[in-house]
Amino acid sequence: MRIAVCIKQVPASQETKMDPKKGILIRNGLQMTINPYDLYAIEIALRFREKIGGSIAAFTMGPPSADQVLREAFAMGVNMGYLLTDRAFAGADTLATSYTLSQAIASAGRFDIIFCGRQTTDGDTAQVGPAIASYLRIPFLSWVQEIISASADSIIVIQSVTGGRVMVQVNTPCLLSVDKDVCQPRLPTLKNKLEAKKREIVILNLENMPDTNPERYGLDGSPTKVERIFQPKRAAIGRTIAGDLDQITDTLTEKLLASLKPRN
Amino acid sequence: MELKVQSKEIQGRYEEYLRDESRLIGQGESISFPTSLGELEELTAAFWRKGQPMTVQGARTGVSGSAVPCGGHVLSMEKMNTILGLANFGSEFTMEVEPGVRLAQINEAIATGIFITDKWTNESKAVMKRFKKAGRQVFPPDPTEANATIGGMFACNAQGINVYRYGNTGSHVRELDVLLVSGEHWKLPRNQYIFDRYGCPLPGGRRIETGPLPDGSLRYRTGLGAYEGMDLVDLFAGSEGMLGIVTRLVLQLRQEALERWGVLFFFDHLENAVKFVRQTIALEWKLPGANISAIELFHQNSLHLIQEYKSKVTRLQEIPDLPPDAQGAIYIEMEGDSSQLLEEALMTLLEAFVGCGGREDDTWAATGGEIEKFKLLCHAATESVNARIDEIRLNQPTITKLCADFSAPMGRLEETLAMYLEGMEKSSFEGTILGHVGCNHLHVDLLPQNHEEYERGQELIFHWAEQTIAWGGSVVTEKGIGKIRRSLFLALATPRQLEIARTIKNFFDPMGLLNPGNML
Repeated sequence: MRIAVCIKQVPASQETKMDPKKGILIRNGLQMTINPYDLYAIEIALRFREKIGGSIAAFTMGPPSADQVLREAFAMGVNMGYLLTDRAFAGADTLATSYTLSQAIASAGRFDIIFCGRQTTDGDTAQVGPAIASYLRIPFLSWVQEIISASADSIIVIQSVTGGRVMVQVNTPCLLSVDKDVCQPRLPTLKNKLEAKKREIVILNLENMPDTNPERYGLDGSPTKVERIFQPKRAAIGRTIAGDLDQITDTLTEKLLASLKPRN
Repeated sequence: MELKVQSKEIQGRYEEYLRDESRLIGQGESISFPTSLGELEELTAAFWRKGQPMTVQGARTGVSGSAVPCGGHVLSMEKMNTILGLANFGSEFTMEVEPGVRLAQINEAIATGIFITDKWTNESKAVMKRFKKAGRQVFPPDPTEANATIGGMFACNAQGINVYRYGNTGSHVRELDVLLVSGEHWKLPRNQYIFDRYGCPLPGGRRIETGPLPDGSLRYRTGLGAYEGMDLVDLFAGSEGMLGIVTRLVLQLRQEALERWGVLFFFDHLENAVKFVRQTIALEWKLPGANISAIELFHQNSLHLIQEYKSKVTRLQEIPDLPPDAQGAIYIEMEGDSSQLLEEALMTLLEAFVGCGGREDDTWAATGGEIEKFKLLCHAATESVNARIDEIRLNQPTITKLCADFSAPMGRLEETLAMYLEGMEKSSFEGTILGHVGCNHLHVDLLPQNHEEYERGQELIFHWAEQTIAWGGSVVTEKGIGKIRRSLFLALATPRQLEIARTIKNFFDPMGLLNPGNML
């Protein structure tokens, strides 16, 4: 079985800076880490391989320094790593990112299952997984919480849906976006982590993609542009209302009534 | 004259200020929260003029009851929590802080480079620009409780898992301001006032006379102790707020190593874990470019308790399940500036681990920010014990934490562990052993189920303390003495040690107004 996992490098901290002109994240100088949700995707892929056999390839799109997340994936036990890096890919929105990843996956051959983490901690859109599936024309299941059974031809999962959970069977090839409940990611062994530093990573540029039209990638290929990302303004410092229960209640009621706007 | 800061009666939401993490509950009449030096001076003068005692508190994260009041006024320093500025000396930086600043606050400011500078001098602001461009800095002491205040950490001379390399909090304080009950406010730079054989020169040309002092060969001094060659700053470190109120600290920061690794090694047999510790220490000399900053032990019982606790705490879910059959685990942190040298050192350690009966797959490794998962594990080790004690206290409210926190010579490591294990087994006590095995400074927590066991546990700890002292070790370490270990300290300190401690206390606080009930 050939398994693919899509992973991403994200800022380790919530403190981020934006390029005011382009509306994109400034990644220089930030501490970066693997998207925490992707660890679950890698782990479930590893358990799949342990049960059914096969190989796992991890794909990531980013600057050259994004190889860090592929090495983390190697340390956990992934077999191969693909780094999609090219100036033409920079500034991509979720659609262009999904297209790039789908092109890279297609260029690497047929995969039976593709795993993605539920979302990233920087974008939080959860759009890339379903968009990749759409481009590859394979079925997609989101919010996968549990894998019930799997074979080379199909998988049965529990999916979280609004108001409950549903058991679904899907044929391979398919793409699953997994939630944190699906399993507990392992920590790499020392030996694997040391060896991961020496593993070869396959670099994919625009010219390696089946579609080499630069207008499909990066900022040029992005129908959406981030207008502005900003830290929400902190609310004014709260005030403490002191007193006994009656005093507090009276004061609070007075303030709430005073804050209500009169109806027209 | 009406004071700027008002005292409040201790009731309702202020009742939490009557306790700390020791689970001891005290008594107090009033509480105040000064926000500035001016308020502090005015308040303390008012109380001390009337001879009224007070207990000075930080975040109350200590486990010895040092911050638990036994009557009188409670003075919480938590609102004196401003980072006052930065300075640099060559390539080194210092951070000036009020005592209520929390360790998490310090670490976040260093990591983000974001400071509130409204009241900073222009000089500090200029240093901040250089600070942001310099290599990443770090404040080395890292006790697991990041919510602790720096004043509290200094008061008990807290350590943390990297004590192996970086020692205690006091050694990273470059300068100190302290308010005394006499009303004097001393500024104490390090290396200016040094104890000689019979006492120490003091600001203002005075001197404290102690009589003959021991030399500095003791690794840990006893509570309120001193030795020839000791810095006056270090007299206040670990003094549990009994000598004066610290109002400002200048912290020495260090350049962080470019790369850091954390590795957990799991063992089927505890003796193999100890053998591995010895080999690691012996190998350290042969690992150029790689500095070991932590060597910690988790005994099997501690691992089981963490695993049980993990299922109840959401944020611990990111830690994988611990191997159920491991009899012990050794956690090592290593840092350096060369990836290659670090990797070679780690391969050497891995070979030593296998040579001590370990299996390559029985390791967990992390670098950089991922190491936080191991910090989480270390914290969970303590929290899991607290949680268990809290469960026991539901039916047995008089029970508090029972902990042996002793430091013995490294040459006695195997005997120390054997002593603890044998004691727990013979007494049929549930307990955990973890801590700074690289320094033979282990934390042993007993979990008594009832009052009878609690009293037996105290006897057992006393027996351990006697043996530790007979070996040349110390019963006064990072958790302090406070009220929980006071009887132990008084029983086991030598007459001369007690005489020195009382001389020092009487010099600074003759009326016993500061933190009564601690230590003496």
